[in-house]
Amino acid sequence: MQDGGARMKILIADDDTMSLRMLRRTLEREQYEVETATDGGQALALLQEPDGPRLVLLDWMMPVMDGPEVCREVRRRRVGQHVHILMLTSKSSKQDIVDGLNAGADDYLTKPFDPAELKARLRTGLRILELEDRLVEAREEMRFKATHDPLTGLFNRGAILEHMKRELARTEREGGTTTVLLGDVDHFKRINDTYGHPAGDDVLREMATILTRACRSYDYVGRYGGEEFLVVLSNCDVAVAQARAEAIRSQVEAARIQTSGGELRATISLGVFTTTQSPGLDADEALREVDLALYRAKGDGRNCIRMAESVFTEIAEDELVLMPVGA
Amino acid sequence: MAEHVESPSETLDFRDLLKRLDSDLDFLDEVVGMFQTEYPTLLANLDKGIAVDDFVLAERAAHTLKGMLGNLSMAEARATASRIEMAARAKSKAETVEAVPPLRGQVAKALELLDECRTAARV
Repeated sequence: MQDGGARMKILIADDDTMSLRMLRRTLEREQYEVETATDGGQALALLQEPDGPRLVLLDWMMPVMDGPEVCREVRRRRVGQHVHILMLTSKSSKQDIVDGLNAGADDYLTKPFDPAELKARLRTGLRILELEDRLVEAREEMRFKATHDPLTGLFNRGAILEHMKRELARTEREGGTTTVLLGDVDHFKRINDTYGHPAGDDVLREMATILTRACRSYDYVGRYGGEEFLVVLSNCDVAVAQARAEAIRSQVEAARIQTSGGELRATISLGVFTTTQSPGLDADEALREVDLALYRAKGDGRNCIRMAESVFTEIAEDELVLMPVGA
Repeated sequence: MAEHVESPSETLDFRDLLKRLDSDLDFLDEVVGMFQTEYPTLLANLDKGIAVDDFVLAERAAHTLKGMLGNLSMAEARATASRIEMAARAKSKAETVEAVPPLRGQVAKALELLDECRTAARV
């Protein structure tokens, strides 16, 4: 019997209806969710379904495609989760076993089946699938950690820059617009110094929540560094981009942020860049534009948004007076 | 229970068969019914394959029979079906033809024994 949880789907592929019936009954009593196929083509189609079975009892001789052909196709086509294939056949010579395993079967059992042995071998298959699930889970966790900021759960600097580059390249290639917002929490250093770093962290988490809520599922929000956030929006014209930035600013201003240092208020300054204003810029150039716009917002008193202006591209970097972090 | 129910034989290992079916006699009736439905068709395919030298058809029919007879724990008949399958694969008409009558006889004998066992098991 399977251990708790959802019932495991299993496919029985066999053109012998009696064998199919006996196997079905044995496995249903073991709480498997049984699907059946009476030829290799049907079996392959079921295995290609997005939520298809990952455990298979496969007969060798079947119409349309035989068992080894199905094995080879499954191994060739399947790029997602592993399918554990147990070949169950009355072909029992050493060479048959070698051929079956070489075709991609994970295990091999000869007919007539012994129920206890069949159940034990399927439990082995389940253990292998569970191990694979744990490995995939660990890999996904590592992938998430490598691309996300642990404090806010947003994309980290590397990931958000990658998304921005890709969106700008897509816009250049296919048309449309990409908007980049760069936001910086005003006087953040003062928040940290006055209320402590845990309170500052609470503020950053609240910013992440506001930014995420303000964006659509296909937009990208990332922590660019420190108290800076980068947002990449697809297909917003200048007016919409401006409205979106203003909405973020006003939501931040209105928020009563619960922190370990008590309830706090904060504001944010934002620079806004859209490709309609300056088409054809690469990621570094777009970042420079939006950074200059943010710089202007800070210079104009903070808690405001400023659109990028191409005139700033004409200013040499050494002519700028850079503001300190957290200003 | 009759002696042949307890003692496995090459004709029929009833204990092994019951073990495979979790001793469910109703399910045994269902399985035997399935065999009795399909057996004539498989034999007809075997005969037809031999008659028209369609060895693929004959091999497939023998292979399916072999599987069914194995599931029914009829080792002797299963071995004969296996011999026919191999002979058909080798396109050996004489050997294929020669093994069919024994197969019919062994299956008939095994079914007769199976009936007795089923009746005894119900008592």
